[in-house]
Amino acid sequence: MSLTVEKIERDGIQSQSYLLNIGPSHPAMHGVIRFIARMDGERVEKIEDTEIGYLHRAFEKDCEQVGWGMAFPYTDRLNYVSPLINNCGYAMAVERLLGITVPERCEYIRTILSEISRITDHQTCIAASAMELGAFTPFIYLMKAREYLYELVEEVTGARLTVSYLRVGGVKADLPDGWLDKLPAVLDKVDKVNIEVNKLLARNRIFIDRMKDVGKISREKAIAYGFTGPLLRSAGVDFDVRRATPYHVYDRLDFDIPIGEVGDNYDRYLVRMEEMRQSDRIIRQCLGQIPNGSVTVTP
Amino acid sequence: MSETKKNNPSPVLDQLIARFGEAVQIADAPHGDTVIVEPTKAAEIIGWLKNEPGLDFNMLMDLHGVDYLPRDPRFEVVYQLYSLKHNRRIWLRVQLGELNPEIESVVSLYLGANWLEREAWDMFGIVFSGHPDLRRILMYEEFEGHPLRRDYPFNKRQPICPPLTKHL
Repeated sequence: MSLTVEKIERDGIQSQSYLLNIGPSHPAMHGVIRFIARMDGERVEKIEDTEIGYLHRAFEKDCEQVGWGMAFPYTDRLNYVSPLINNCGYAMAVERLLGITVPERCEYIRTILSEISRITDHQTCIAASAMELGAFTPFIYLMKAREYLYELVEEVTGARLTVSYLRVGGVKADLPDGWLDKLPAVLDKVDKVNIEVNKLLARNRIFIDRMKDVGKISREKAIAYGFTGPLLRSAGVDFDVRRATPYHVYDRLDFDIPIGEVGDNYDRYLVRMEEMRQSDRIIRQCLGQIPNGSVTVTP
Repeated sequence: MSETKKNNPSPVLDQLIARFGEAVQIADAPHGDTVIVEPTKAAEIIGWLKNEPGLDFNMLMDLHGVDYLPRDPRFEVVYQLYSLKHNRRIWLRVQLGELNPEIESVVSLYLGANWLEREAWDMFGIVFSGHPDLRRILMYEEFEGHPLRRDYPFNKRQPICPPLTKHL
């Protein structure tokens, strides 16, 4: 970290950079984090320091105080817009330690709910980034569409966000009667909104100006920093854990993995948009394959 | 060590043992190839795994501390490496004693190790020698102790602002 003044020369004009403190609490932030930014005019040249601990809640310490099965509510809160995926990750880790294989119907339920969560998560990300650029309409549209999915999640789990639906060796309860039948209609509605938002943003001059070439991460840097998920893929790396080491039933499903080119904000937007379309595809395939049967292991 | 056992070592483990011999022991783990490596050799072995043609473990997926109190050696640092090219993972476990747990940093190999090593220092008090900027990352500077150590009391509080002493 360097907090000294640095000289800048551009177009023959002598100037100097300045330091700007952002956060830990700032109106444009969706959480608490503090940056010390080195600015050249309005351009952020470098982040000199980042403080990330304001939201640290010592989940590990809390989990150590309770049994294996009681850690699920904590995993909900790791990312509250996609709690079901976090439930899955934790459940699978414990199941692998115990050597448990869960029933097939449970694997399909987990896949469907994971992909619904992926859509809600990407919608939130795109909605918030558009709003931060001043595009409030896509935000409202996407929040509306996200609510359609939350309603589905609520019918299954009893909660919109703090779901705690998974158990070690299964899920809390089977899907409600008729839930799978109404899924395609909801997906249609959500897809319609995503298409509409994409029309508002993808070729929007202001959106492109402020997303393209911003926050660029090269392929090499993304790998060196150990990025995963859409951030890694937007930098041009063809890696998706669902394809590389398939879990649940991903090895039986047909889906594409979108890859970016330059790793800027705009590529990340495009990757997320396409991933939502692929999630839609995955869920519809699951609907045709999901078998009847038990949803938890029987002792 | 009772947990060390050989069952169908993968080609990577064979190569590791052929290259480093005694410094590497195969550990039994449900998730995949896992080895216990000597603390003094850890950074060298990780560098070799990253750069050796045919292995190419080019991603550091995770690095974290573990406290096994009251076991001796008490601490462990666990590295999870991944090879994008070969779609292969390997876990390295390094055991460190209770007094002055210290190990060589791998920031020069993986940029992502910077914050992960700071977290292991902050939470467990494990020192990473050669780290460019080893300071707390989650807790504040004034915090005393390392909260994820087993002997740090669960309900201990260290408020940075003193509580109000009178009603306003």
